[in-house]
Amino acid sequence: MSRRQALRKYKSYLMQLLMIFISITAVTPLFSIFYTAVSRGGRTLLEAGLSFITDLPPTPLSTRVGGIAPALVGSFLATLLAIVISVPVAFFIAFLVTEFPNTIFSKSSEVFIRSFSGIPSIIVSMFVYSAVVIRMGTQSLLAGSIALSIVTLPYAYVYLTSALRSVPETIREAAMSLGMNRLKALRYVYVGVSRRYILTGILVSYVRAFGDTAPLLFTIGFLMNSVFAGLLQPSNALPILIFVYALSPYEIFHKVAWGATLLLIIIYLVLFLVSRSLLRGVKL
Amino acid sequence: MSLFITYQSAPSLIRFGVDLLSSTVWRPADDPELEKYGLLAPVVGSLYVSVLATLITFPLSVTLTFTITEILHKRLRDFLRSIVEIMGGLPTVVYGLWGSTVLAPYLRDFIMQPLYDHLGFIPIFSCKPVSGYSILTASLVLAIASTPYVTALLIEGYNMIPAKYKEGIICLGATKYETFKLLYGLLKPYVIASLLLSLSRALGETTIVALTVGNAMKLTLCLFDSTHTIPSLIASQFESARLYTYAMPTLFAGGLLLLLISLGASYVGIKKMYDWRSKIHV
Repeated sequence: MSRRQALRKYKSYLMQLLMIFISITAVTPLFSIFYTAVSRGGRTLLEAGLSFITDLPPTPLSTRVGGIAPALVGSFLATLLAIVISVPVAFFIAFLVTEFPNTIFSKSSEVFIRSFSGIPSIIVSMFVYSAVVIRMGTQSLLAGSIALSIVTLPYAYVYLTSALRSVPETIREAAMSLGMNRLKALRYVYVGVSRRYILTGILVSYVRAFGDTAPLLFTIGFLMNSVFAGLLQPSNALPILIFVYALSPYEIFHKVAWGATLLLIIIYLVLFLVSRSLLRGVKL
Repeated sequence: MSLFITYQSAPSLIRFGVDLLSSTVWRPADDPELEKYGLLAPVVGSLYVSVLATLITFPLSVTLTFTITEILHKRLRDFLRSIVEIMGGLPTVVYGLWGSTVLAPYLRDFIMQPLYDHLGFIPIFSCKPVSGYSILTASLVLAIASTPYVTALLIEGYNMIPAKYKEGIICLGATKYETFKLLYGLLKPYVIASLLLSLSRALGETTIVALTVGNAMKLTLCLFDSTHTIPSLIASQFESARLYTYAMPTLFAGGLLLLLISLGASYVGIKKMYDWRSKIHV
């Protein structure tokens, strides 16, 4: 082997090592985040025990940690409602776009929905604030869900389109040759064939919406004194609670924020793993 | 929606005009005549923070992509990929909280203070790091949070490169590093497109920035100083802006500007991406 070749080889090894090193550096923050969340949040959770998920948040001067029940309830409900709003719309458009790709309607709605993903979510929040909150006179769970549904719409759309596109051409033709029209084929064949994809898509959109802060910032309100006030009344959400408490100067709020963060991470990981295992089962 | 935002921001646009972009005053007053607002600092802050974040993201995501696709063996690769996926979906507020309580003090003590002590004559290092909440912290956390997103895009693009190129490169006896250089050259337009998309996301990112940038209405180019970005300004001033006649329209004007910049960046990014895709599949 000539010297030149040896040099090339060493250079390559060196660069590979460097790349692996940089890659490891890039993912270390995750472990740091987990470590801090478990050590700080874990302490809060141990201190508060089960009441952390059933109690009301503390006041700045209280000595007990209290709980984050309003935020948990608000988060689950608002996200559920957002999914209920956005998934049917996304599904309808995805169906039209996959089945009739060349009509003006599907082309324009494709462009429209894609540009949605370029809109910063804080702008969505401002928009919903002035379009819904001001008109209703109060921040509410409903307004929060509307903002969330606008943000999740493009995600749900992308997943549902790829779900419908995953239906093999042979199955499509078989359905057509039985004399079904497209709606019937969708109802009896496509949905069944791609159900795991669709479920995963819905779940992934749910996860997305669950952790999103900015759309809720001006819309959902900050409910502290009861767990659930009603659909048209202010509510609270887990990410909002963490955000507001992290910005506040009180030590007790920081404690609660870390506890809430640990819970948020756990919920996120569980949903993530479930959607992962759902997707793994997909075989066509 | 953008029409709506324009409508909401009209009073401020009419009243302040170009002044909006040339001054950094934020003076709410009970008397509408005395109110004066300028968006220069947050606009500069926004661009500064997100461009810096994207520049940090670039080497991280490119190396991550190549490590995942070429260097590592199957099991390790799947492991690293799952980690990147988990990072990509992690709620941004978690990054923000971590950045403000863990990373900011660390950066202040071990990076910013030494740099200020020894290299303080360079303008971007020339201000004393006080709280750790700074442009540097915000861009770093933002970069960490957007690396998984860019990496996912790049892996997708990498898998789109037809096998014939890879086979050709290997047939010529290239080492791994040379393979990387050649394939990177092929992937370059796609990389730029992905970075533009990431920039568009970084511009609109609220939670991370509001928690780490320090939220001060100050025009600065020093890395260790706190400033505002448009989203952080909106997030922190929205509650009080309701009370004043022109504050809310000004925030909406900022939002409009943000919307235009970020839609523009993502439009160019998506277009570049499609161009590359149709070029690579000849």
